[in-house]
Amino acid sequence: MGILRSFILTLLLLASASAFARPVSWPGGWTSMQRNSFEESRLHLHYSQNAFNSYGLVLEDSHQSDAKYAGLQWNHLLKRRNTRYSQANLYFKAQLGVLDAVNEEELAATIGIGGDWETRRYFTSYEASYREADNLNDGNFKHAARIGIAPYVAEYGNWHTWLMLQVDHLPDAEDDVVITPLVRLFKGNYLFEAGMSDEQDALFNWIIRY
Amino acid sequence: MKKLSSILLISLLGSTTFLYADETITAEVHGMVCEFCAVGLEKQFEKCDEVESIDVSLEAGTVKLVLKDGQQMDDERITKIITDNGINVASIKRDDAETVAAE
Repeated sequence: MGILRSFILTLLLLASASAFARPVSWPGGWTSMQRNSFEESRLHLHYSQNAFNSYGLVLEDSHQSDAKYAGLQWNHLLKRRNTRYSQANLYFKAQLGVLDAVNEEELAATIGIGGDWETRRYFTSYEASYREADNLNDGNFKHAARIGIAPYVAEYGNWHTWLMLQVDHLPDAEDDVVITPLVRLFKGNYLFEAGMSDEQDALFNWIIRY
Repeated sequence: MKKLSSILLISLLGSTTFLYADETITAEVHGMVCEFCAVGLEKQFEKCDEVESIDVSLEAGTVKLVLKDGQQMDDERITKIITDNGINVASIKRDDAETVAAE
C-alpha cells in the first residue's frame, strides 16, 4: 500500500494540468459543464470574454460534508504553449461565493491553479485549489491529476475516445486518495465522461460549448 | 479600319468565357489538437461574410477557407482571428483567384 500511495502521490506531483477541462473557451463562447463524482456534484456556466478570460457561475453540492456552495468564478489563462502537435496551458482560477456548511451561510474564497498538456494521442493534467471559509473544517486544500491516452486518433468531426486515469487527493478527507479510471467521449461541442472509482463511486461529467 | 476593329473585338468577346475561381486560403496552425479548438476556429470564421466554406483538419493542422466570389481576406485578419482563439499561425498559403480565359 505504501508503494501504491507513493506512486499516486508522485503522479500527482509530476503530472501537469486541469483535471477536468480547459476553463476558457473561444471568444464569445459559452460553456456548460457538470461534474458528478465521489466528492461532489458541480455545475458550471461560463462565458469566455476572449481566449484568456472566462467568467461564470459555480454551484456545488458536496457528497463528503453535505455542504452547498454557490459562487462566481474567474478563470484566467496565464500561459499557453502551442506547437504543431501539442498544446500546454497554465490557468489561474478564483472564486468568491456563499458556503452553506452547517446550516450557516458564510462567505468563501477559493483560489486554484491548473495546467494541462495534450497531443492528439496523450493527455496529462493537474489541478489544485484552496478554499477559505470560517466554518470549513476540512477540504480546504485538494488536488487532482489525470493521464490519458487515445486508443485511436480521430479526425475533426468524428467521435474521439480517451481512456483516462484520474487521481484525487483530499488530504483532510477520510479516503484521502481516490483513483478513478474513466472513458471520455468527445465530438464537436459535446464531451462526456464516465467512470467508476476504486471506492465504487460513479463519475459522470459532461461539457457543452456553444 | 474602325469598323474592322469593332468586328474583331466583338468576335473576341463572343468566343471567350471568363471563369472566376473562388479563392482558397490554407492556414497552417499550431496548437489545434482537440475538437474544441477546431470548433472554436470554425465558429469564428463562420461569422465572416467573405467566407463560403471552412474545412478544418486536425490531422493536417490546417484551416482551409474558400472565399465567396470577389471576396478577399488579408493575412493580417486571418491571423488575428486564429490567434484571438488561442491558436498560433505557422503559415498562410493562397491559391490565387484565377481568371481563366477559355476558348
